[in-house]
Parts: sequence; structure tokens; C-alpha cells
Amino acid sequence: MAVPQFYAWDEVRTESFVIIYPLIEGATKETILALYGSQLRPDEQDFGHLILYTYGKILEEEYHRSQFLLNVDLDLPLSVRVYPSESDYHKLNAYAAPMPAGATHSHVGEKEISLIAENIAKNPFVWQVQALNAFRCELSAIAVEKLTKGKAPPGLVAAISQYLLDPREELAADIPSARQSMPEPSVGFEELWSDEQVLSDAAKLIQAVSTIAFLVDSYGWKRVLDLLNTLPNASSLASAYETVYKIKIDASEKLWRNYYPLYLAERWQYHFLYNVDVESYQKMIQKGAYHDAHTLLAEHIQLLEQLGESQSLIALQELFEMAQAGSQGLTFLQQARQNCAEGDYARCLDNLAKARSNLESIEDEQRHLEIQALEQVAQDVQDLRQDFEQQKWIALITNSPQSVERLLEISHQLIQLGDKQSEENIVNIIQSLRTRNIVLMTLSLIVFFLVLLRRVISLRRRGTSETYL
Amino acid sequence: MNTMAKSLLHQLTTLYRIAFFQRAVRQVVRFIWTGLFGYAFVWFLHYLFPDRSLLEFRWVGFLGFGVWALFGIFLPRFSLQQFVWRVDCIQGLKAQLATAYQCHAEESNAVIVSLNQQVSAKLPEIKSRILRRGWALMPEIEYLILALCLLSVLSIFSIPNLTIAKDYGVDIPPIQAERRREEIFQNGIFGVENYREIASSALGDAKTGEQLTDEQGQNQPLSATNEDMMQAIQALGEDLKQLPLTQGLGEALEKGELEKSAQILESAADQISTMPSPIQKEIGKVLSQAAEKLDQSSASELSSQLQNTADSLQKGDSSSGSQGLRQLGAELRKIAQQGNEANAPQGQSLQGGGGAGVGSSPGNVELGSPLLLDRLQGEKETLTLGGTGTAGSPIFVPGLAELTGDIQTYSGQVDFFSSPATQVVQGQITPLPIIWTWLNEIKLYFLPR
Repeated sequence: MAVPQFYAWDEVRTESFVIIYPLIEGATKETILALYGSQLRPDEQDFGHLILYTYGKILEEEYHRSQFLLNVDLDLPLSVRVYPSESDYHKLNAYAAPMPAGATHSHVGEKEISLIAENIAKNPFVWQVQALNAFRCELSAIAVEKLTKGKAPPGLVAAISQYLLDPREELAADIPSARQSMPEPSVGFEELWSDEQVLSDAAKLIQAVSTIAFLVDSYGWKRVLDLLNTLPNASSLASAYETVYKIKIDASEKLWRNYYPLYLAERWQYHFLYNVDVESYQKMIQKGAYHDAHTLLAEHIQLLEQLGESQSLIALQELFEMAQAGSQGLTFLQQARQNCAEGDYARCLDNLAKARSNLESIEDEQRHLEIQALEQVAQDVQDLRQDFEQQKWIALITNSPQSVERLLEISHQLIQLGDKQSEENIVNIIQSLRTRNIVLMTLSLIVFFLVLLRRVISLRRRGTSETYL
Repeated sequence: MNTMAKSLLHQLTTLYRIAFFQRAVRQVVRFIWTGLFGYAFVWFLHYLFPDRSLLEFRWVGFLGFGVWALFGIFLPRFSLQQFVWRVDCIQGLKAQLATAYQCHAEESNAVIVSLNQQVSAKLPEIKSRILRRGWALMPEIEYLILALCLLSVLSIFSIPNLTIAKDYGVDIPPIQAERRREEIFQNGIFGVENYREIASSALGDAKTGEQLTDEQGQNQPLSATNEDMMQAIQALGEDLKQLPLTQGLGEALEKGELEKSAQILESAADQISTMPSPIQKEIGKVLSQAAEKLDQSSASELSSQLQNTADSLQKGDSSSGSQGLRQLGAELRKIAQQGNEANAPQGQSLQGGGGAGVGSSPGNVELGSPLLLDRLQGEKETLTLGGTGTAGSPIFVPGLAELTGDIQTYSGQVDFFSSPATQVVQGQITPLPIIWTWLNEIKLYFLPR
């Protein structure tokens, strides 16, 4: 039977963290201090000061980063506790989620990041490389725990905390084996997210991370946060999911099952923070989905700026400007059509010129024909208006049915083209034509009968004319 | 002949010419009014016998009626002697003028000389009267007025109905709705453009040997080619859909509706020769771009056909272009037929497999009675609806049904499409791919004129 060991503990503070460490001596401490100890004063040769000086700044930065990324205020101070061994961790945290054998870090509840000195000492160089991701991962896990008030199932916590790491560093090594061993998902969302062993099985972990990647690609990161926020008050994970995504979890799972092979093939390497899929934004813009691209890019750029992730920022900003130009161009085009419908052709042409300029600036030729067609209509209306002005005088003066017919045809065309501004003029002219017709008819009949009468009288009198030949 | 006699003769000739001119003017005016009556007559006939071609004979009516008046300028002919006699009669000169004209050469006769002198003295007065009253235009003008009045009334009756149908804005060219994220990425999943393609390649790497053997045994080569072809055609449809000129065709191709696409192409083939040259060239350009894209895929025959059609249209050769469009339609029908044939053997093998013969194998039709399928309970029996008397079933009773017993109700969102997208799908209803300008032309044709 193993004899329980008792350690004395000490702590050091940073602004947001308290680092609790055991006062132990031995090989583990020697190994770790051999790597970092040269930075420490003789009286600070312990785990606490080692973490304080080596990772204190990183911890503060990562704390603020996760606070922003998950939009949650953590209860301060957070602890970073160094356990001498895995067994000490398990003994002191009986209810903590199981930790994979040989793991160097974990977390307890929403307050503590746990480091296992024994496992770190086994390969201190690996730890040196992984330390940033370890703290980032655990801080994300703590934030998720805090956000969900501990109601997030362990698989979901692991999936999110792993998803928030750079996939090219964390997943690249395991993806080829996952393609071979598990080309299709083995279980559904709920089973994956409830599984405590997700972290112990690389293939399962990739599946779990792919679920988050699927949600982010489909609905965006903010909706993932909405899901986490909904969990504390939801009766079940499925109901929370349905509330947030407006789709049953089973139906979403079907889509994810289709997505998963794509994830293994190529999507795994893209991430909204580290390796932004700029090409997809380009495709959205090339294919004319300006408004959606504009909205997505605005949110994305804001997030990256606030997190200080500048890697893809310039490319995204360029695309944002293109999307903005395209979106404005389409707005001008829609306004031009509206103007056209209202009969305001001057403004229509003005808006069309703006739309053309905006869309040409981003080399969009898809709307070229539409702009041309609207310009044609506007031009037609202006020509018809000129014709109308000429034709109305001809019709009024000559009273020829052809000229009236032509006038009516022009009027019809103007009205069909939506020229409401000419409506009053057309109505007036038609009214004038009607009045003129009535007057002309009356006069013609009067004159006709008067002259006829005179002629009859003249014929009766006879002999008054002197026709010599 | 002395000077006085000569002068007398000259003056009488002048008067004759004046009178002739007056007659000519009178006859011209008569020509006009009789012509107008003829014109009005034909116009009136058009009302009695509504035949639009009659209107074309209005000017024939004008000339037909009027030309007789023109003959009146020269006919009947009057000599100077007759004219002089007529002047004598009309002006009451007691044959002095006629006598003077007749005897103006007898210089030895003092009476005649004296008569000549007297007539010469009267001639200015005679001329003045001829000039004043010899026109006799009033009756002609009156008839002209009557004709004009008649024409005016007729023209008013001929003016089309002065009404305007206020069908505003029907012909304003449509704008294609802005594309949504869901249209670009499958199921709206960012970055995912073609599920099937990438998924199959991704899964293909991981498929086990057993799975591959199974698939190879199921008549795969032909359907794989068709699959590639259909993917190429769908991709082509997606491109063509973006352009207003080929939107309908693009949508049909994208959905894989090859028969409908063929019909659209045939309809376009009928219309293409009547389309303006710039539109023909624009369509040619679109088809050329499509051909280039298609060339990269496996549909090379279709691609070359597209390219030929595009070339014809871009060169302005509408008859070849029309023929090319027809051939394209035929090509699509052929592809559709190939697809059907590729599927047919599977169907046959299923039927064959259902036979009870020994040794039935996929693809071979065996003799024997087909196995009975499991039928639904009550199938082919008479359906009796619940309820009695006039009340019958609540289904047939108007108003609210009387619901009794445990009624289960379901509430919640209806998920028809299993789509994660919650946005409203926006789009335009375009029943037929007729370009707006042609709609306009058709409409103008049927408008009342």
C-alpha cells in the first residue's frame, strides 16, 4: 500500500493568477530547474518563481485573450497549481475529469490550471514548445466552464479548448492517422461531447474538434458562444442546441457527417484565428455575395484586430473594401431600378453610373448587362419623352389619326417603362385631344349644315354666276 | 388691217386668256373638292366594310373622283368667237362685241369703224367685270368646305380610343437578387463548395479494399462517366445562371434538368435570328466562356459544340448559331438518354432478381412467378369511413370538427429541408427564360393601337 505523501505548499502572485507550488526536492525539480533555473535567483529556485518569471506575462496575455474570445469575466485570482505527480492530482481532485495518462496539464473547475511536474520533467523540451498552447487550452477550458456554470459536458469543453488552438500545430500530426482509422464519424454530437475520454483518443478528439469547426463554418463563432451561454438554463444539450441553431441536433449531425470527410481532407487546417480561409471570402466576392461577405468580414476583422492577430488582417481588409464596394454597387443598382420604377430617370442614370463605377472598381462584370438594360430603359424613356413633345403638337394641329395613334403608342411605351412623371402630361394631352375633337366635331357639323343651306339657296336662285368659259 | 382693228383683236384675245385662266383655277378647286369627296367616300366604305386594306385606296378615291374636274380645264373647248358672244350675252352688250369682232377688218365701212371705236372704249370696263366676277369660285369653295367638314367628322371617328392602360413598370428589366452565402457554399457552410466531390475524394483514400471491390462489381464505368459529365454540366449551369441572358438555362442545367434545358435551347434557336446583333454576340461570348470551362472537364463533345455555336453567334451568323443551339439541345437529350440507359440495367436486374427461378443473377431476367409483395392491410378492400348518419366522418362536416378522445398535437418548427440556414430564401420567379426586351416587344405587339 502506497504511503501518502504530504507536501508543504507555497504560492506567488501575479496580477490575475496565484501560482501554488509544492515545496519539494528531488529529480523532478532538478530537471526542470536545470532548464530554466539560470534565470532565477538562488532564493527563488522553486516552481512558483519559475512559472512566474517564465510564463507570468504569457499567462496575463492569454487570460485577457480568452476573456475576450469567450466573452466571459473569470473570477480572479485564477490558480496555476503545480502537482508533483499525476496521482497527487487525482488524490487532491477526486471529482475532476479524468486526465489522460502522461498529460502535462489539465484544469479543475473554473478556477484552476493544473500542471503535472513529473510529466513535464519527463520531456521538458516538449513542454517548452507546448507551454503556450497548454495555458491557452486550459484557460479556454476554464472560460467555458465559467460560461456554462459547469454544465458543459467534458467532451464539449475539450473540443472547444482544443479548437481554439492553432490546428496546424495541434492536429496536423494526427490527421493522417484519423483519415485511415476513422474516415467517417463513429458517433453523434451528444455522445462525442459527453465523452470524458475524448482527450485520450486522438481520432475522437479530431471528431470533437471537427464538430466545433463545423459549427463555426456554418454559423460563426458567436453562435458557439450563444450555445455555451444557453447551456446553464437549458434542460438538455439537445434543447440548447435547438434553441440556438433553430435546427434539431440530429439534422445538424447529418450535415456534420457530410462535412467530416471534407474536414479531414482540407478544412481542418483553416481556422478563423490562425489560418483564415481567405480564398473562400474571395469566392464569395467573386460570385457576388457582397453583403454576406461584407458582414462576415466586418465581424472577422473586428475580432482579429481586438485579439491582435494580424496575420491575415491586410488581406481581409482588402477583401472587406471590395465587398463594401460591391455591396454599395448593388445598392446603387437596386436604387436605380427603384428610381426607374418611380419614373425618376435622371436619378436612375446617376445611380447607375455610381453602380457601374463601384462594380467596375472590383472588376465585377456580372451586373454589366443589368446596368446596360436599365440604362437602355432610361435612355429609351428620355427619347420617348422628346418624341412625345413633338408628336403632341403634330396630333393637336393635324388631327390625323396616324399622329394620334403614334402619340398614344409613345404614351403606352412611356407608361410601360414606368415613367410616372410623364403621366400628368399624357393625361393633359389626351384631355386636350378629347376637347379638341368635341369642338371640331361640333364646328364641322355647324359649318357643314350652314354651307349646305347656302348652296341649296344659291342653286335655287341660279344665274348669278358669270362663267365666261 | 388698221391699227385699231389689230388692237381690238389683241384685247379680245387677252380677255379670252383671262377667262381661260379663271376656268382653270375653278376646275383645280373642283378637282380638290371632288377628290376629297372621293377620299371621304372610300374612308366611309371602310366603316361599312371593316377591311383595313380599303384604307389604302383612299388616294385612289381622291384621284378617281377628282380627275374629271381636271378634264374640265380643257373640255369643252370654246373658240374666241364663242367667248365673245358669251361676253355679249352675259354683260348685255347687244351683240356689239360679237359684231365688232366679226367685222373688225372692214375698214371702209364707217359704221363698223365707229362700232370698233365704241367697243374699244368699252373693253376696259368689260375686262374689269370679267376680272371681278368671272371667277365664279364661291360654289367651288362652298363644296370644298363641305368636303373638309365631312373629312373632319370622319377623322374624329377614326381617332383611336383615347385611353391609356396604367400598367406601370411591368417592363423594367429585373435585377438578379444578390447571391447569398448559402448559394455559394453548400448548406451555407463557409468554405464548402462541393460536398460530393471533395467528400468522395476524401473518402476514396480511406475506402477499404472490400468496399472498392463491391463498387467495381456494380457496372461503374459508364455511370462514373455520366457522373463526371453531370457534374460538369451542373458547374456550367451554375456559371450560366449568373448571367441574365442565360439565367433560365443555367438554372435548368444546375438542377440537372437536361430535357428542360434542351427545350430552352430549342426555343432560343427559334428566337436567335430575331435578336439584335449585340445580344447575339453577348450570348456567344457567354457560351464561349462556358465552353472554355467545360473543356477542362470531361464533357469535351459538348464543349466543342458549345464553342462552335459561340463562334457562329460572335461572327453574327445567326442561322449557324440557331442550328448550333438546336444541336446543343440534341446533345443534352443524348446525354440524358445515356443516363437513363445507364440506370436501366440496374432496374432490370432488380426485377430479374425478384423472379423465383433458380440461378437468377443480377442483370438476367428469369422466368417464374414474381414473389408476392407484402401488401398493406385492407388494400383493395372497400374503405368505410367512420361515423353514422348525416354526421358521418368529421372530415366531411364543414366547420369545426368535434374532436373526441385523446388527441395528440404536435408543435414546433417544421424542418422540411434539414437545412441549417434560417435566413429567408430570396429570389425571383422567372417562369420562362424570355429576355425582357422580347417580352416588351410581344407586349407592344398586342397593345391596342
